[in-house]
Formats: sequence, structure tokens, C-alpha cells
Amino acid sequence: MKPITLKAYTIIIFSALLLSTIAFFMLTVGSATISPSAIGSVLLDQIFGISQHNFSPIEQVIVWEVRWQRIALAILVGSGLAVSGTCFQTIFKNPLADPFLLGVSSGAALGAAASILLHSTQFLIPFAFFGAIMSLIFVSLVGRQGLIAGASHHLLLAGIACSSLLNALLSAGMALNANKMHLIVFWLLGSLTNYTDSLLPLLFLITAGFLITMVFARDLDILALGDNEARFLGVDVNRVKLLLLIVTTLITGACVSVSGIIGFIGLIIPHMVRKIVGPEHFLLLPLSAIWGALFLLLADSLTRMLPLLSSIPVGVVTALFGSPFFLYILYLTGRRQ
Amino acid sequence: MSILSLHNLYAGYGAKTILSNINLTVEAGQFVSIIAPNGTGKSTLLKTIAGALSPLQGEIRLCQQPLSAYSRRDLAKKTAVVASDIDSVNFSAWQMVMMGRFPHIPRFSSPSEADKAVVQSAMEDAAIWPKRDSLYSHLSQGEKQKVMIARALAQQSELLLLDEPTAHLDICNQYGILQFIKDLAKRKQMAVIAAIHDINLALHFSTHLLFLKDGKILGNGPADEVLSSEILSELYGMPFTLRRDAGTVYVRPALFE
Repeated sequence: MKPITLKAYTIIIFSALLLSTIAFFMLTVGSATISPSAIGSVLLDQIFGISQHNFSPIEQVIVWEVRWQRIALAILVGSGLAVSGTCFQTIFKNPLADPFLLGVSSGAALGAAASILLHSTQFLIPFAFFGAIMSLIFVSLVGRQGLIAGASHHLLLAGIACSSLLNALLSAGMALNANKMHLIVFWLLGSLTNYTDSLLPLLFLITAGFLITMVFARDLDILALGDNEARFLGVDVNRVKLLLLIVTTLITGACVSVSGIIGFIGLIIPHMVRKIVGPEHFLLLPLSAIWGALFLLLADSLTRMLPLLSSIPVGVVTALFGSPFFLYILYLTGRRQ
Repeated sequence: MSILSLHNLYAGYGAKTILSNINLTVEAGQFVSIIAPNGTGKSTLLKTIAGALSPLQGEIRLCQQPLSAYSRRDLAKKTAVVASDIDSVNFSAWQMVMMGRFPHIPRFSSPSEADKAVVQSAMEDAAIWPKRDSLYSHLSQGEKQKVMIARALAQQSELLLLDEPTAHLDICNQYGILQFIKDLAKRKQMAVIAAIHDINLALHFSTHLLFLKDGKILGNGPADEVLSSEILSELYGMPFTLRRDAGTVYVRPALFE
């Protein structure tokens, strides 16, 4: 095994251990004091059905229904957004490409808002999907020349224009329905506090999407060299791009439907990970997933542990930490050139 | 055996026809150099043969099969392309060459030991194996070109297309790389088509010459038969003289006579 690959696997395993340690630690944090052994038993009971009966029903509700929900949501959404961002950046050969810039998140948010306004919140996820897919179709139709000819900025500009339009529609919807404003604002700011009963479908979707991107890891490597190079090496460029765009849009739609628009993860995490394990997607994608989960979990932990931040949505925290970090990366790359 | 044949080929972009009525047959072991002034359709021809551009009219047959019958993957097993512009990404030289194995590796597998052996022997052939762990973007132009040729070798194709393989290279690398490609065509019985600007280099190393002017074939055949000062004058619109020196032909513009 090559040393760089060995190093990358070590980092991946270490990061996964760190993630589970922090996740377990965050289960102990909260106004009620619950012993780690009770927490472990609740987890064993809920996940593997091994019951040890050394916890009270209230402890079970707090650990499983309240804390675990929020942590699991942070892990799933963080990894989903980071994986989507990694794919978008390679497909569009643009370090600024992520689901938000292409209007996919805004489409999902508008879809989710529409389901609230239509009193059909039980269809929240399908609506968010529908919005995300519609905005992707709209953007790729407008920027289709760009997708085929490989001029990525066409598509990015179409995405930016599309998300402005969708955000305007969202604002208009809020202004016209002032009584539901607080519900919609949640999608604009991004939050993990909403109770969702769709953790399992979300887990399934993000895992399946991630596995599909892993199957196409070598295609992504070659796509990074340019569309014509990829064709010469045997990649069916248009079909692979379309498939991966649909998969990442579904992942993004699922994330947005449960957590609102959480920015900067899809932008920053792939940058950091690429610096550490290089451009090979077979290593890039899993580490992006883990670090995306870590980043969102840590950002959410801050709002839970610092009283000052407790009422701030996590989307605001990721932006507060994410944008200066992103500027720092830009500064570093600028100085190196 | 004919590896590539073009019949009444018209090619270009949409309504813009760049190449018209191209007829060409390339056999195994031939090294065809395309000699043409700038902007006369060299790259369009290479792209069309490589399947990156659909022909407007006419037929391309690759190993007796119509080009359109190949899937992307199968095409990459038959044709390798060494292009002149690659987006710079931080892959190592070894990783770049391994990408040549892409069409051979099944979707749900990872590179096998056999694939790794092919990569190593391709890199050894191209004399770039010692640089396997260097980043592609850190290599010199000559080394980059060797990596791209090693990648094409790893594809184990029957047809090799090169777009200005000697651009940006010093004279030592120009001769080294063309000699290597010449030997390759002979040894592995590959068909090679290269767009080359330097007529003297093309003369030295290729077996056949193809002159393109305004998207049409001006002359085509074995180098010593097809080359004349007239055809060069017609091609470039300026006088040329041919000189023979110990059995080798040299071309130079007649401006300085």
C-alpha cells in the first residue's frame, strides 16, 4: 500500500473514532444529568435491541427522542452536504460550486415552505425533493449549453439567478403569510432542533447516495481533468454527470427538508479534505462525509453548550465560523500563487 | 490490417463545417503526421476520430467497426489520446497513468495487480517510472508529456492520437519522444496519428504524411512519395526548398536562398 493511502486510511479511521466520541459525549450534555452507562444502555436497547433495564423511561426519552435525534441529524446532514459539495466542485470544476450556489437548496426550501403554506407538512420531504429537482432541471435547461460544452460558469450563473428568484418567492410567501413566518424563517436560517420522524429514510437516502458517488469515484477523478480528457479515457461524461447531479440533489433535498438551509459545509469541507488526502475521490468522499458530520456536530454543540449562542440557529453558527475560514483559505491559495 | 478508415467524412461544429470529404486509411504500424497550417482542422480531425465530436456526414470505421457502434468505454480500449491541454490537478504521475486503465477496470472493482503491472511497464517504457510519486503539476513539460504517453500505453489501445506532442519541449525531448513513438508504432504495431507543426521532425520520424488545407486533404501517402516543394508551397503559400543530405531530406523556407 502506498504511504499516502495508508496515511489517508489512518486519518479516516481516526476521524470516525473522534466523531463517535464527540457524539457520545454530546449525549451526556444537557439540563438533565444522565450517566454515561445509562446512555450506553439506551443506545444498545434502541439500536441493537439489547435491553439491560438500568435506565428510567424519562432517561430513555431524553437520550433517544431528544438528544440522539439532534446528534444523528447533525451527523447525517453534515455528511450529506459535504459529499454533495465534493461532487459539485468536481463536476463543475469550480471551487465555489456547491448545492447552494446552484439554487438546489433554495428550491428545496421553497418546496418545504410551500408544503407549510398548503397545510400539508406531512409531505415536507417530497415537496423539498420536488423543489430541489425542479430548480436543478430549470438551472440545467438554462445552462444546458454550459453543461454540454463544459463551460461551467454558464451553469453557475444560471444557478445564482435561479436561487435569487426562488429566495424572492420565498420572501413573498413569508410576507403574505405573516402568521407562518416563524416556520419558514427556520428554513432560511437552518436548524437541527425540529423533531423529525424521518431519520431512517434520511439515513437510507444519504447512505445510498454516498455509496453511488463512491461507485463513481474513479469517474470523478477523471472528470477533474476536463470533460474531453474524461471522454478519451472512456467516461460517459454527460450520463455520469447527470446521474451524480440527480443523486447529490436528492441528498441535498433530503438534508434541507429536515434542517433548512445550512451553508458553508459543502463549500469548506471538501477544500480542507482535499488539502489533506489529495484529489482521489475514493478517499475524498468518505473523509468529507466524516468531517462534514464533525463540523456540523461541533457547530451544534457550541449552541448547546454556550448559553450565549443557545437561541441561535446552527446555520448561523456554521456561517459565522465558515465564512472567515473560507476567506482564510482563499487568502492562503492566493498567497501561494 | 486497416485500423482506421474514413470515408467521405465531413466534420465540424453544428452548422460550421470544418473538414470536408476526408478519405483516409491508416494501417497498423503506420505513423501518420498531419501537416497543416494553424486553424485548418487538425484538432477537429483528431477530436472526430477520437469520438469526442460526432461526424456531420460520412463514416468512420475503427478496427472494421463503425465508430458509432462503440461505447465510450470500448472506444477508450481502442483509441488513446494525448492531448495538449490538461487541467492541472494534484494527482501523482502514477495516479495519472492508472487512469489509463479506467476502461479496463469493471465498475465495481478496484485496480488489480495486473493493472498495476501494466501501469509500471508503461511508465518504464516511457522512462518516467522514477518520477511515479511526483505530483503531475510539479513535473517539467517533457516529463508531463512522458506521463501522458505512458497513460496512453496503459490504455493498451490500437490507435494512438497525439495533438502536437512536441509543443513546449526542448529539442532533446522532441527527438526523444518522437523516436519513442516511432519505435512504439513498429514494436507494438499500433497506428499513430500525430498533428505536428515541425515538418522536419515529421519527416524524420513518421512513415506517412497527411497535408490538410482549408479542411480538405491536399496530399496523403508515404513520406518520401508525397513530399514535394510544390505541395508545401501550396499548403503554406510561401516557397520551400527540399535538400538531401546523406539520404535524409530537409525542408526549409526558400526565403533565405
